[in-house]
Order: sequence, then C-alpha cells, then structure tokens
Amino acid sequence: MKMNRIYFFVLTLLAMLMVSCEIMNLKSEYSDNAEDTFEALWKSFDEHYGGFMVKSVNWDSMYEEVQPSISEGISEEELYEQLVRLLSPLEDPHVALVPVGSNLPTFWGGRYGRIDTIRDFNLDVVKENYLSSFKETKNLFLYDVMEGNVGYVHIKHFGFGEGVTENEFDEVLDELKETKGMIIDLRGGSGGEDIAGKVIASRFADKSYHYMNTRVKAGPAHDDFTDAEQWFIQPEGPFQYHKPVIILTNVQTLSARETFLLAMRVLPNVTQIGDTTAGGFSNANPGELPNGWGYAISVGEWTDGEGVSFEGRGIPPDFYLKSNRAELLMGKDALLEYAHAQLK
Amino acid sequence: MAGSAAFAQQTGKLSLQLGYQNRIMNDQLSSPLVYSAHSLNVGLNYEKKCKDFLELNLSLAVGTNQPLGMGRREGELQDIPDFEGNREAYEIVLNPWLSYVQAQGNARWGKRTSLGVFGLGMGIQHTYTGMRLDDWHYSQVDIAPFYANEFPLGNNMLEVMAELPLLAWVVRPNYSSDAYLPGNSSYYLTYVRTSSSLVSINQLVNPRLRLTYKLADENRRLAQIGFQASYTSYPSPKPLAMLSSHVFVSFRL
Repeated sequence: MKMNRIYFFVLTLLAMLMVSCEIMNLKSEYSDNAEDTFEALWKSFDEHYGGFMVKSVNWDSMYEEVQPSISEGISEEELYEQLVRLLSPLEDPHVALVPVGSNLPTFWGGRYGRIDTIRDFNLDVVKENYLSSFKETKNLFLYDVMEGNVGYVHIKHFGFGEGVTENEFDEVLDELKETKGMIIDLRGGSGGEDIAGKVIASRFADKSYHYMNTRVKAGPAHDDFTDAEQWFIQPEGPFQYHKPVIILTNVQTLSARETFLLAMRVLPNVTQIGDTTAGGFSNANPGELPNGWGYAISVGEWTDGEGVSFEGRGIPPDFYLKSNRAELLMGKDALLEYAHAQLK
Repeated sequence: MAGSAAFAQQTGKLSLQLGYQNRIMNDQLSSPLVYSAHSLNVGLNYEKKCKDFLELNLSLAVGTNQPLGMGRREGELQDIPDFEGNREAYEIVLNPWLSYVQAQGNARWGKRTSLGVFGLGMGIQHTYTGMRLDDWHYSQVDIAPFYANEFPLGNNMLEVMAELPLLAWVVRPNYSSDAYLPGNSSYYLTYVRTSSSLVSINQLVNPRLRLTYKLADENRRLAQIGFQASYTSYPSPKPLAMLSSHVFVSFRL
C-alpha cells in the first residue's frame, strides 16, 4: 500500500513538472495595447506576406517610419491611422484592416480600396437597356443573347466551387453556343476560388495551356516559398466555345476574377477591353491582432504562366475604354456598346 | 497491494459520461490571442478489467471558444461603395456560442502486474473551432503507453492513469494557413495531403493524467466521478500549446 502511494505521488509530481515546464507557452507574447498591436501586425506581415519579392516596399524601413508614432497613450483612431499608413504602400487590394468592435471603417488596400463610388459600371443599366430576356442560373451567372446573336454573360462570383460552376456554366454555354461571339462581363460582383475560373476557362480551350503559377509562404524570410504549383486549362465539358470572346474589366475585377482572366487571356480568340484590373491575385487569409482587430493578408505569389506578376498593378486591357458615370445615369454603357459592336 | 486488489471486475461495463471541459489554446501560427474553450462533454465508456485491462472511450465536446479577456466580438466588414455610393456591410460575429467541437476516441489495453497496469493505448482526436477570424482545426492520432493503478478509499476506489504518446500523426494548417493546390475541393483534405506529420515525443509533448473516484455500490446509477487533464505542445509550423481540464461523472448503463 505504502509503495503504491509513493508511486502515485511521484507520478503526479512528474506530470505536474512536465506541465509546468511547458505552461509558459500558454501565455501570449503580446499585450492588448497600441505598441504590441503594431508590433504584431508588422511582424505578421514580415513573416507571412507573400508579395515582398514583387513589390518595391522595404518593410524594415516602414517599421522605422511608422513605429515612432505609436505610443501607449494614442487613441484608437490614431492607432488605426498609423496601421493604415503601414499597410498602404503595399498597394494590395487583398490587404485589409477590420477594426472589430469600433466605429472605424474597414480599410482596403490598393486602387480598389481608394474607390469612393463605382463610376463605370451598373448591372441594372445593362439589364434594363441591353438585355431583353436575360436568365440567371441559381448562383453564378446572368446571361442573355443580345441583338445580332451576341452572347452576354455576367459572372456574379466564383465562390461555389468546382461542381456547381461546371454545372451552371455548361447550362449557360448550352444556350449560347450558337452565338457569333460572346461578351464576358467581369465588372462588378465578387471574387472567390481560382478553381472556379479554371473550370470556366476550360470550356473555351482548344488545347492545353499553362496559364498560372502559385506558391505560398513556407517560412518567415521574404523569399521562403513552397514549390510553385502550375495551373493548366485544357478542353473540358460537353462543349468548347472557340468563337470570338471579349472580356470586360474594370477596377472591380479582382482576385478570382483576375486569375480567371489570366486563364482566358492565353487563348487566341479572347480580347480584354475596359480598365486595368485591381491587382490582387494571391489568396488572402484573415488574421487578428492583440487588441482584437482583424486584418487580411496576401500569403502567396501568383504569376501568369510566364512568371509575370501583376500584383498591385493589375492586368492592363488590350484596348482601354471606360464607361462613365454621366452616361450610365442616362442608361448608356459605352464599354458594353463597343464590345457589342465588335462582335455583332 | 492495492494493485492486486484492484481491477477485480470480471464482466464488461458500459457507462455514460457527462462532463465539462475547459481548454486553453495558444497557437502562435494563428493568433496572438490566447483562446479558452468551454464545452459540455458527452461520452460512452466501456471497460473490462480482470487479468487484462480493456477500455474503450468515445466522447464529443460542444461549446464556445473565445479569446481570454476579450470574449465574444462583433463587427462589420464593409465593402467599397457601389454605384449609388452605398457600402454593403457584412456583420461579423466572431466565435458565436456554438463555436467549438471536439471528438475523441481512445482504446487502451494493458496487463496487470504487482505494480499496477502497464499498457498501450491508441487515441484519435479532432478539434474544429474558430480562431483568427477563420476556421481552425487540429487532428491527432497517437499511440501511447499508459500506467494505471487503483487505491482503496474506504469502500470505494481511486484510479489513477497516466499516459504519454510516443508516436503520433498530426494534421495542422501549413505555414501560410492556405491550401492552394489547383484541384483542391476541401481545405482540410488538402492539409491532410500537404501538412500532416508523423512525429514522436521530440516534437509532440502530450502528457495525460486521469483521476477517477469509483463508487463500489453496483446498485447505484452513479458509477464514477473523475478529473482528466492533458497538455499538448507541438512546435510546427509555429508553437501550439493547449491545456485541457475535464471533470465528469459517469452513470452505469
């Protein structure tokens, strides 16, 4: 009996010792104050941001520039202002600061974040003035056959994965396959998953094309990446559309919309017209700060098949043309009219 | 010897366990905040203890997971202004009340000796919760030697069990917390393919201790009152530390 009690106490002491040696790991390395919040944000981007190799931003210099403005006594508004100052030079529309629990606005980076009002696109104008009997699939596409047997497809978003995208786009293509040409409108709407764009673009491919390389951070150094994944499109689905296609873009063409464009622009029958896209390709992840605020960070390096990065600058169109707000208010979409005239 | 007097039970016993669990989590990969999950546990336990020691346990914990000192957070994610100048806003509720699920299973088999029971167990656990404004998961399958003994306390018994996994298969998000493969259809399965590791005690430190007060009266429904604690430390891709404590009662079925 006595021996077993000794075993019991020795065992308990050993367990407690093991736990107490490690227990310090349960304490956060940061406190909930302005200085630690800044430190945590700077360090997270230093170690996890995937765009430093293709952007001319010296992150250490940004620390030196902004850190002196951070002190324990600064207000929430001042802290927000300084964190925005830190993130702005990245010119990345996938970078955001979300001051959860305050009345401060969400900050978005890049040209996209500087939009005060969308001035060059209104889907209602398109529906009311150019489409006579448009249809919508359950989740993703709005489409119609315009005058002169020209197909029109507006992609609402890319967020329903491979299977839904396949089914819904095959439904669209079945109705538009006899058209003379097709307009794909990438203005408005939201991003989603790159795989959805790959699925759609494969319905236009006549052979296999290597269109994109992606790699994500694998360590804290700015050049620590995984091996690159190569993305290909090849003919898929019951029907491939090989007639002329015009893709309409503007600054709202962002993220999965842009990676879809990377896939489409390798095809010989595709032309991009409109405005330069937003320039945010990499996957973005959420994160949080010691004061409870959230942020978004791009974690990878996305390039086209030839290794060219459009991060931060966007994909320039083959032909630059923008609709303007005054005309849109009158019911005229100059960009759509131009594309339509090219195809009908 | 207490060890030889113990485990006199010959036939298999099935019991229902109900309990409360707290788990403190510090994942330096995911968040600078330390989270605390509170959950209610329900489990089934089967044990047969004669010459051999056999125990099977399944449990499910469901509850809430919040940063320590911060609690539940609400906010708004605002999009850029549209053609009319209106910003679409999405309400964010970070870690609502039901934001923590943990499923666990264990099988243990051992041999009684004069010093108590020495045996080997196999465990599987999967935790799914919210952290860093996103999903968070941790999975572990392990093989762990254990030691158990019983000490009489009046008419009842106190069972002590300690185990330490020596070999484990762990699934964690990768360094960038991003599953970016061209054909991925499930982030979790992509992490299984790209970010799982077979590790030993040099990487995964996970001591587990259980104290169970066993009531001898077979006519009572209440069979056991217990406390279980475990600590997990895993260094990759950045340090993760978790401390769980669990109190439970079990009823004979």
